[in-house]
Amino acid sequence: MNLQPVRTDAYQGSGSSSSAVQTNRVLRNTYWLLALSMVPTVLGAWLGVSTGLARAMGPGMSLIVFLVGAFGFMFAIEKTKNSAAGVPVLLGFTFFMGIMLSRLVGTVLGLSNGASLIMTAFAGTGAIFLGMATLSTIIKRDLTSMGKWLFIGMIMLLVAGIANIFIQSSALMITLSVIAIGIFSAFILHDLKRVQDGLETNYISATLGVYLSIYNVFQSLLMLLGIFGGQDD
Amino acid sequence: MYQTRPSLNAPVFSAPLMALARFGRVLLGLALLAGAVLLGLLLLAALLLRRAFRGRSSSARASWGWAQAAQPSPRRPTGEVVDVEVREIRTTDAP
Repeated sequence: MNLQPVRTDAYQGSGSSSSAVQTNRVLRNTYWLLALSMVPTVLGAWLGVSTGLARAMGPGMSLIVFLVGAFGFMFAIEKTKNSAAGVPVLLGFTFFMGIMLSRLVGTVLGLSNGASLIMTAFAGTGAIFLGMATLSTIIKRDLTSMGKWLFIGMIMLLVAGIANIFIQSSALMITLSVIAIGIFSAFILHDLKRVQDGLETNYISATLGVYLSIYNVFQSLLMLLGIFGGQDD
Repeated sequence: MYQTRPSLNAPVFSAPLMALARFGRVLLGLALLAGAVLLGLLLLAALLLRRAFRGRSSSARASWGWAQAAQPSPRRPTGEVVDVEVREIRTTDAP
């Protein structure tokens, strides 16, 4: 595995072949780092479930922890993405996100078929990712404009999601989870296409975007599987 | 040229029925207005949040991750559960 920091500035290649080499290198590094980022996420989720850390926090406390932790890490990633320190900071962020995931994982593991639901959600997320990665190589048209619409959709999803923390409606949660799977699947396609088109030249930024989309797809799938396939006995 | 006149044989609606129809139209208008206002507010919130995030989707994506984690526990919605106490009813023998 060769994870060398890549400059974010527009690539000043001498020809199309060197540009293609550069794009392939960014894509390869993104896939490697993405695979690596799963390890701290699983470790974080395991730690969170075994210690009951995330479950002990109420919504208010988890908001504060999230704001400080996630935004702090993202700020650090932004500052270090052009240096070798960017990779450990990103892995630290994925560990933190794993801890944040542990509340849901713990709830699903409390079901009698919880482990199989988690494996199903993991397989489903993998299938979506593979599908989107394949699509990104097939689709030839420019998907840049799709990003704006996806962003607006995501913001509306976020507003509705925050409202549902107070409303506590299961029906709205199901609707939002289904919409989230669609939006974040499209985000995976958009992000990978950006790398392939040479618009994203930093693999740490690319990994961060794709990782968060995969994380959200997994969480939504797990939520839906817990609702429709969960067995209490 | 013919001039149209209201027919003398036109069915006459009762006053309460007419009032009900008018009330229905007002209600529909109010619902449409409320929907439009809600949509406008959602769009405004989306625009404000977009400005707050300054187009960086990673922050919004991570925020959605938190918002979803804070949702109610994944349980199948079963509706309201009502506890019903069943008592044995004994009929006294008639004298």
